[in-house]
Amino acid sequence: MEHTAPLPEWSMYAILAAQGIIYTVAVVIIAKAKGRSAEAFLSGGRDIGHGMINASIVATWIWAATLMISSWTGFSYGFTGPWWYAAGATIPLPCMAYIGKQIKIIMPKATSYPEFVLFRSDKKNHLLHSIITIIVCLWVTLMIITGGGVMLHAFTGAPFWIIAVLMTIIFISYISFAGLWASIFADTVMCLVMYACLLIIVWTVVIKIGPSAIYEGLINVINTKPNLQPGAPIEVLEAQWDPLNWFNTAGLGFLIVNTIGNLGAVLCNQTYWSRMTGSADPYIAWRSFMTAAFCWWPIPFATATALGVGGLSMGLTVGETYTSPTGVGMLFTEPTAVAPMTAFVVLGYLGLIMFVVAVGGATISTGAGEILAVVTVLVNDLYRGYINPKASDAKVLSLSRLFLVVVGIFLLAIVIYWRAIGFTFSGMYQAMGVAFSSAVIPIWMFCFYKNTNKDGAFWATIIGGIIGILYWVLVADMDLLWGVVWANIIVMGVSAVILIPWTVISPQPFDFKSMKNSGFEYGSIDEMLVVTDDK
Amino acid sequence: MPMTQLTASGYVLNHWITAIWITLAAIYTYWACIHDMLNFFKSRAGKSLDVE
Repeated sequence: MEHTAPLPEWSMYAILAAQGIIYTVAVVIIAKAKGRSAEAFLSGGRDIGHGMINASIVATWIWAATLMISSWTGFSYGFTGPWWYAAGATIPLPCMAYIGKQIKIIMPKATSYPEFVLFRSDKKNHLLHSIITIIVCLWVTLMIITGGGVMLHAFTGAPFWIIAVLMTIIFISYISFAGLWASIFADTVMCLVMYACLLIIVWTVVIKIGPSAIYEGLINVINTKPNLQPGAPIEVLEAQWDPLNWFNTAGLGFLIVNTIGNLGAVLCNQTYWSRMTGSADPYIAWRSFMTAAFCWWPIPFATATALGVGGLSMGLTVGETYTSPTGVGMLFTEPTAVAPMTAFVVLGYLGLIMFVVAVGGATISTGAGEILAVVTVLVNDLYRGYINPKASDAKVLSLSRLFLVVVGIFLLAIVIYWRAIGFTFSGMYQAMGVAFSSAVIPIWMFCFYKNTNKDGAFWATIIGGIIGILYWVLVADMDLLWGVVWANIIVMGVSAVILIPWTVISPQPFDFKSMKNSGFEYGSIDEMLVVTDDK
Repeated sequence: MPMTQLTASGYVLNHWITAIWITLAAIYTYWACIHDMLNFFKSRAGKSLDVE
């Protein structure tokens, strides 16, 4: 029995190289025109249809975490894990549907979400939200590159730093040619490939093992209470021994964290606002996010049920080695690796390769979108807004391409450094809400409530975030069970408690019609604000 | 068995729902993407003909 990485190293290079070459060549041939002006580069031409926007949202919202951590919830909490993972992460999409439709109607020339905040409120809110979305996008990209790199390293043995460098080069290469359109086009292709891989995996588990056998396996877990995670706290094991209970309390806590964290990760994330920007009209924006919700929910739901709950029912134990149907061994290294482990046990190399292709595609599509989102805010909001408002089209375009490389190198440096010092990402997903979600209610109120107080929104975002972070670090000692749940609730709760009364006491009426022609087209921010005030 | 615990038939139904739902989602996504791509290439062909 072998104990080396289950796939050969060259397979990693082949999968990544094939994807990089295919997307770059396809984009160069199909969409050269989309990279010829700064407007087209950053906004995709604003004429992309429903099918591609829908697929792009689905692909962008699938991270390596979607397939790996959702399956971990199935393994850890039983059948409710996939329900709560899918529900909590899907809720932001219909919210974005209504925001997208509203923005396309009231400010059709918006390119970025901080740009909307600027014309809706003032400079301090603009700067705050520019910084927030840059941090959100960088945070997500760091998780993606690391998650994808760790997974491919475990499966192929290729050095982590080479995987990280190759992934980043792929992100930057095809995006450099045609910007947002390239990102959305590649998302579309990857989405179709991912669905094909996941359908094979999900239906093989249904046919080869069957739901009834999985149920019997779960009953066995309830009766025998096996220790499937040696060294884990007793609370973790007790949650695992209750896999058929709707009210698995650890699972409910995860639902709260997942919902609040993902609201921040979507509503404060320029990547999803870009999909709204690229849509041809408000109805397509609304419809695409709504159908994306319907299409995205079953991805973690079905995958985690098949692989996470399936792995639990088979009694897979962390630290043990299991063999594929052809007799090759693979070590079950950690609970978050249950998805590829189960795929390997059930389908052998085929299951593992399909899983690697799906996660590789998810990593590349999301990473590319997030890096472009960072560049969009840096160039559109900060550079053109404050440093060089009269920047020419050519200047903006060349700077966008330059910043893609600079941001890529910056991210790589952090990823490789954190990997070298042993920094783990196990808590980053659950701590997202603590970092960002104080901005969710202010954004929502800016979009829909004409009397929102601008100072209230600014301080609600800052104070909510600070109090939540202080609670999690100082009171909860960065606990990742109920401590992080309460921190997420505090972040959003404090933000609401500050902004809503402040607005009620001191409303600042605003006419949404004044934003109809707003956007970064003129000489300076002050001049632009004067132009929109006159309207 | 606690009232909040799934029965065998409940779990089986839940599992089938996950498989059928992802299949429907895939069918819809494929259909919508192919529809868009066809429109995109038709409009490019139309513009080429206009130029000529």
